[in-house]
This record gives sequence, C-alpha cells and structure tokens, in this order.
Amino acid sequence: MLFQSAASAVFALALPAILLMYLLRRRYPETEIASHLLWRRALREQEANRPWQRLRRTLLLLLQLIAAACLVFALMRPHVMGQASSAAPVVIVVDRSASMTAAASRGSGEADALGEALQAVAAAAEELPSSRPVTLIAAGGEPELILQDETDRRKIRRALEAIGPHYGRTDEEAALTLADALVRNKEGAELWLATDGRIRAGGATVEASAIRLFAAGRDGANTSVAAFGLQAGAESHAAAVTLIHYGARPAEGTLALVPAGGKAPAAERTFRLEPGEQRVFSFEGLPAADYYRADLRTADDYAADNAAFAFPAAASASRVLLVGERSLFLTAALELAGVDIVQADPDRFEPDDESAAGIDWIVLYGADERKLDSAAWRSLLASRPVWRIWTASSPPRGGTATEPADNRVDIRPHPVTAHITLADTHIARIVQADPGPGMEPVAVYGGVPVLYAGAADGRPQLVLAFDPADSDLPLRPDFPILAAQAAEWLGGAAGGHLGRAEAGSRIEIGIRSGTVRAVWETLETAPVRTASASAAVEAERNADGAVSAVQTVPGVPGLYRFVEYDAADRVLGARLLAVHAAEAEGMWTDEPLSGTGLPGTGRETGDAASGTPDGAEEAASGQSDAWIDLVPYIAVLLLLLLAAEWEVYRRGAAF
Amino acid sequence: MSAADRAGHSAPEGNKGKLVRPGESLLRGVERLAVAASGRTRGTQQGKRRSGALGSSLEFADYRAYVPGDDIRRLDWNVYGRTGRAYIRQYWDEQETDVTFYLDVSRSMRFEPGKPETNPDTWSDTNKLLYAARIAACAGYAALCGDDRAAAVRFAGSVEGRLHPARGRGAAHRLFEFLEQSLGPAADPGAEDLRVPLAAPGALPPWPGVSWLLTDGLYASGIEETLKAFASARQHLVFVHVLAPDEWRPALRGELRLIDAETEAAKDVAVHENALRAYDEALKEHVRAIRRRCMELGFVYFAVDTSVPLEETVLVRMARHGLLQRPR
Repeated sequence: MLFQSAASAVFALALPAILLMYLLRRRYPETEIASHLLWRRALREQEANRPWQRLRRTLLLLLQLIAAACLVFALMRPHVMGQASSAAPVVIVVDRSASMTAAASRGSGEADALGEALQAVAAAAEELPSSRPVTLIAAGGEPELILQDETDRRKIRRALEAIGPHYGRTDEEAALTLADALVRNKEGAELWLATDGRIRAGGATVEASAIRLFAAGRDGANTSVAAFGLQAGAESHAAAVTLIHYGARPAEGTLALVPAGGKAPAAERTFRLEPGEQRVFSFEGLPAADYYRADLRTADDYAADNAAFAFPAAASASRVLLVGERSLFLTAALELAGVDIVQADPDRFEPDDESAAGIDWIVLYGADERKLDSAAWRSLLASRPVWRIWTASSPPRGGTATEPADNRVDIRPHPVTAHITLADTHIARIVQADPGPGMEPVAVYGGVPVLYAGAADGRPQLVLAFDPADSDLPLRPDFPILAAQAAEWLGGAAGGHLGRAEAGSRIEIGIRSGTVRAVWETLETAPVRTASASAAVEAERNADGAVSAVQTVPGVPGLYRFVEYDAADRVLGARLLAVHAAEAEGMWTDEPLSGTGLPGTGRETGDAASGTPDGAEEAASGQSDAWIDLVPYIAVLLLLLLAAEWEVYRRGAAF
Repeated sequence: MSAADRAGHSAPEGNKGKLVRPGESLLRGVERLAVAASGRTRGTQQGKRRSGALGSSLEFADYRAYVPGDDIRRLDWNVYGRTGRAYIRQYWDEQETDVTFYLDVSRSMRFEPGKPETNPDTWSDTNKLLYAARIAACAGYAALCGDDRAAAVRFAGSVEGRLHPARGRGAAHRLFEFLEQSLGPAADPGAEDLRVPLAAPGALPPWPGVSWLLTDGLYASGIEETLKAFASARQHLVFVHVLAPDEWRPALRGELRLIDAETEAAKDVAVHENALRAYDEALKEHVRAIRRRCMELGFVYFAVDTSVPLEETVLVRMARHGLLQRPR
C-alpha cells in the first residue's frame, strides 16, 4: 500500500468532529401534548419497528463515519500493488546472444539458458490478460522487432519458440533502447528482459513502470579457445593454441587437434587450467592438412567457443604484374616479400587471358593509365588488386606535384601501415590527385596524404602518392616492410583464404573475375546445439545481380568455404573462412548484469545459483506488478454508502 | 384577556363561577330547554313544571275501573254518562329526573400548550376542561330549570369531588361554583384506564337517571367497560367527547419529542404527511369505537370541538342532537 499524499491523513480529524456533532446534535424540540394515546396508535407500526429505530441513529452515524473515513482515505491517494488489468503493453526483450546457449545450470547439459528463459517468458505471457498487447524484440546485431502489439497468445508462443541464438556481436543496448521507447510514458507498461545477465547495456536507461528479468544460465564455467594458429612448414605443420579458462574452479580436459575431414585427432594434450588462467599449447610435426580443428573436450557450459579452426597461410607466393618503369628498389623489396614479379611495358605488352590468369595483383609504377586504355587492360585492372605508385614525372589525371610543408607524419592504423613510421624520411615531392572512390588516406606527410588504401568492388587498392625515387624511403627500413605488407594485403585478397570472422558480421571478399555464382559451404560447425543443417547457402548478390563483394558471415560458428563458380559452373576458387562466436560472449563474468543500468545489478551470482534449480528464475523485483490507484474504487464505495445512508434514513422517516 | 372577560360569560357573584357561568343571553336560551331523557324515568318527587306547559304535561295513559278512595276529579264523566260505569283516567305521572354530570378533570383535559394547567385564568376558550365545564353548566342549568335534579362529579384518577343532587333554579350557583372549583388543581394527573375512577364503588348514581360524561376519551382502556357500567346503573348516558382543535387536527410538523402531559413520557416522532394520516386514522378509529359502543347501549355520543363557539354547541348542535330540547 502506497500513499501518495499521506499528509492528507490530517483530514481524519473530521471523524471525531462527526462523532462530536452526533453527541452534541440538536435534540428533538420537546412538544407537550395532552396524551400519547392516539400517537401511539398511529405509530404502532413504528413501535413494532423499535429495535430498528434504536439502531437507526447508530447506523447513520456508522455509515457517515465510514464515508468520512473513505474520503480521507481517498485524499491520501492510496495505491495497491496488483496486476494491472489495463491494456498496458508488455515489451519482451530476448537476449539471444551466444552466451545464452550455455547450459542453464551447471552440469544440466539439457536445456540451454535461452530455452529456459523463453519457456519462462512463454509461461508468464500465458498468464497475461488477453487484453495486453505483447511486443517481442530479439536482441541481435540489430534489434529485431518480431511481434508488435500482438494479443494472439498462440502467435506469441510460436514466435518465442522460433527464436534462436545469435552468435555474432549482440547489441543489447539497442534492443533495450528500442524497448524503452515502446514502454516509455505508457501507464502500466512492462518491460520483460530474458537474459543470462551477460549483457552490455551500460548506456541504456530504461524507465519502464515495471521491469521483469527472466535471468537464466548464470552458473557454470567456460574454457575457451582464444586463439589457434597454424604454421605450414615444408612437410609438417606447427600449431599454437591459446586456451583461457573462465570460472570459479579449475578446469580439466583434453585439447585435441583434428585434421581436415578426420575423426581421430592428430595430436592430443590434457590440460588443467586454474580460474582465469591463459595458456599457450604448441604442437609440432602435425601432418599436413587443409585445415585443423582445435577441439576442447572439457565439462564446460558454453560450447560455442570449444572449437576453433585454422588453416595454413597460403603457401603459394603471389604473382605481381609490375607495369611501368623498372625500379631496382621496388623490385628488390617485392622479391624480399616473396612475390614473383612479371615486368610489363605498357607500350608493348597487351594482356590476354592466358597471361592474365597467373597474375594475382598489379603494380602500376608511374605508368600513365591513359595508355592502358584497351579493353584487355581495363578488364585486367578491374579484376585485380592494384597498387598505384604516382610519380611526379607522369602524374595521374589532374594530379599536381607539391612539396610538403614539413616532415610531420600522421600514420593511421591499417594492415599496410602496421609497422611503418616514416620517421626521418624525407619526401621531396608528393603528387596530389583524386585517388578515386572508396580510398582513404592512411599516411599523411607534411599535411599531404602519401598513402591511400581502400577497395574497389571488394578488391583492395593501394596508392602511394610519391615516387620512392623522390624520397629517401628506399634507404629506410620502412620500405621493404611497406612492400611486404602491401604484397600481403593485396595478394592475400586474391588468393589464399578468407581468414577468421565473427558470426553474422559482414566482410569484404574479393570476388574473382568471371564469378557468376558463389555459395557458402559448411564444412564443420562448432559443437553447438543449433548448428545449421544446410550444407550450402547461396552467397548474397548486390542490386545488379552480381555476387556482392560484401558478404554476411554465416551465423553459426564453424568452418565455411566460399566457392565461386563461373558461367560454365566451373569452380573458380574456394576459400576457407573460420567463423567464431563473438569473443565477448565467452568471457564469463562473475557479476551478471554488471555494467548495466538495470535493476538487479550487482546481484550475487551465488544467490541465483542456489535459487531455483532450473536456473530460469524469475528475478522480478517488486516492480513486476503495477500500482493500482484505489481512488475510483473508493468513489464507488462512497456512492454505495450514500445509497445505504439514504435507505436507512428513508426507512426511519417512514412515519 | 382572560376567558372570563369574553362575551357570554360574566361573574355576577364576585369571583364565584366567573369562568364557568354562562352569560345571560346563553342562560336565557338554555332556560327554555330541558335535558332530554330517554323513556319514562320515575323520580321520587313529582315534577314542578308550571305555566303553559301544564296541560300538555299531563299525558293520558289509560283508564281503569274506579275503586273507592280514588280522586273523583279523575273520574271520566263522559264515559260514566255514556256507560254508567265509573272509570278513572290515568295519566303518566311526570316526575323529576336526576341528571349527573361526570366531569373529567384529568391533566389531559386541562392541558393547553404553553399554559400552566394550575391557573385556569390564563386558559383560552378552547381549553377542554373549561369548555366541558361550561357545557355542564349550561346543561345543568337547563336541568335545574326543567325541574330536574342536577348533580355533578369530577374525577381524574379517582372521584375527586361530588355535588349532591340539587333542585331548582336557585341551586344553579352551587353547580357553577362546583364546576369552577373543578378547574382548580386535581389531586392526581389521571389514569390510563377509565375504570379506575368510574368503576369504583359509589362512583355511579344509585338510581336511574341521566348521566353526562364529559371527557376527552383519551384512555387507553376501560371506556367500553365504563359505558357498560353506566348501562348497568340504569343510566341514560350522554358521552360528550371533548377534544381540542389540536387534537382533531394536529398542527405538528417535523421531528419532535412529544411529552405526554399526564405520564410525562417522551416520544420521538418524525411528523410527516404519513404520520398525520396515520394519526387521523387512529383518531377516527377511536371515535368510531366509542360511538359504536354508545349506539349498542342506546347512549348518545356527542363529539365536541372546542374551537366551536359554546353558544353554537349548546343551542344549535346539542338541540339538533336532541340532548337539549324544548319541552312539549
């Protein structure tokens, strides 16, 4: 019971006042008459009713006192806790991040936290009055509005059952912000949050009249394959696996490395990790295989990060077509980077299909692109990563050579600039021109961009805006590093594999020329319960029907192969992609809900663990119900009292 | 202005009977009337009516054979001449009648709103006791003038005083004086049961006659039995039911605490249309019961509203009811 205006209790003084008025009430005026005889006979009916008459005044007083008490009570603005029967909306936010796939409680091994939470939500939704519309939001990379203002309970149940985990980065904050916008300023609106508490929603300030938490899966430990690297040697592979253990107790288990397609592990290692320990396991002499799976066999609750995939870096060296002047320094630097160089004179060389087939990427060193006007050149340049080196002697269209004002260097983070400082480097002339769309300056010298990096149609492009001959860069250690990193970045996109990516994220893939169709093939998935059964998924296409250079990574952790086909359905290339769940999901924190602005913050995990055994405890605070204003009910009661009072008075006044 | 100063009443002998004694004009009007008596009641003494009333007063009754010793003046000579036999003419012997006035002096009779019941001088003409006493005075005077004997009894809770039968016009002042005294304070307030004062031994006349009972009839019980007792005492009763206008038509309104003048009991009553209707009904039922009983016993019921002028009540209404009539 809540009183919004408890000070109004002062009006209760009216009660003794009424009592006093009754005690001091005006007596009947005394009138002497000759005899009662006739009156007595006249009022015989009233006489027969004498007990009622005696009661009447008491009853009137009592009714008035109750009415006055009700009025005072109403003035105090009472509210009680109760189920709001209104049509206030209920917004359900389901946290379906990867951590929700953890077992609901330690060793249960049966249902996962998401299933438990969804069951709890579904059960609670069943109990809602049918008048309350339900909005269902699933948190993901983007919050997904699954149902809006739905009152059909069966639809809600079906929608809840259809919710699966999202292994990518999950933005719970966006979902909560959306939900908050839906419940804000709505009387009695409730916000239900089904989560395991491992959410990052620090910025979300939720102001709903009621928040219910369906917490799930707070217990348990997680051992995670944090990193898995495979070094291809001449005959055997070497591998390094980094394990991290999150949890309160030490973890024991086996780490197995399984080669591609194999069932039996090529190498196995038992481990014992202390809570919070991170350890690197090295393996030597592994038999050559296309890829390896690092398999963690241990009793932990979160399976999505128990497997990691690695494949050796592309063994074959990339081949570059160097167009333009012959430069000793550049040739030496590229050779140092392990690149096969094909020198081409633009005046005499005209590429054909055969010569172009072996080219992975192209360096245009001062070559005037206006001369490379033929269709063959245009097709070749459009289908390969290109490193353009502008020279002051033959600048690109609209290009002018400027001298830098000073030698201050600004390097921006990029794979190509990773270990480059350009410190003490002197650059005499820098060509300023439009590098084309999608190109970003990644190194600025004296206020002028000297290195642009970007992508065109998914193929990386690099522009060095000065002639190395116009600087002392070739004499610096930066130069071979720049050449090696450029070769790796440009050449890696063309051949090799796609590397690692987070589930559900979007990556750029250099599509091979002539690709008409591409599919994602599932090679293996991590040991998660909701593994996708579909073996191949068509790759995304862009607006004009071509295979898009930006693809969405498959949503389930595992190993995938991106296979491109040409018009004749021949395989142009197949690249591996290791998909992992969002790394933050595997970091088991001690305090669920920490770092959120939600009620229940700082709740002890131990409490929750010892709570309900199914782990799907309803952590609803006292706000699960709405405050119901009692004033309308009191008004009705007062009206009834008035009627009763009138009835009592009327009966008494019958004579 | 006291009741005594009003028209129709005077006090020729100082203060004696000043309230009760009817005025001269009323006396003259009453003088010519006689108290009706049903049937032939025999008194102990012959009536002494004179003047023009002499011839008609000797009513022929029957013949009988002459026996020696009879008054020969009563021989019917015509019959003797025709038949040769002597017959004596017999006449109804007109004898005096005792008229006893029973005056209820209980507190309810004295009651007048706002007036002290112990001081009759302040009473208004509508006071029931005063009015009843004046009726008794008029009727008594008529009886005395008509050679009847008039007696009076005043009672409340018991018989409080008695005027023994008196004869002749000269006794009128004694009657008036007795009635005047009756207005004074009574020893007790009155009874709920009319039998308490009147069924007591010696309360009713020992010989047949006419009795006038002047009362407001506000007795919870005993009225019927008392009427029967009068009949048993061979009395021809005239029940004069005296009620004040406030009692015929109460002017009360609102929520009141009614105090009974006799018992001083209090009663809270919300007086409304309904209550007044019920009162009216109760009053009618009360009157009906008394009247029916009177008719059964051959008595006369006469309701009086004290707001009606005394002259009209006595000279017009009573004559019309045959209570006071001109002698034939």
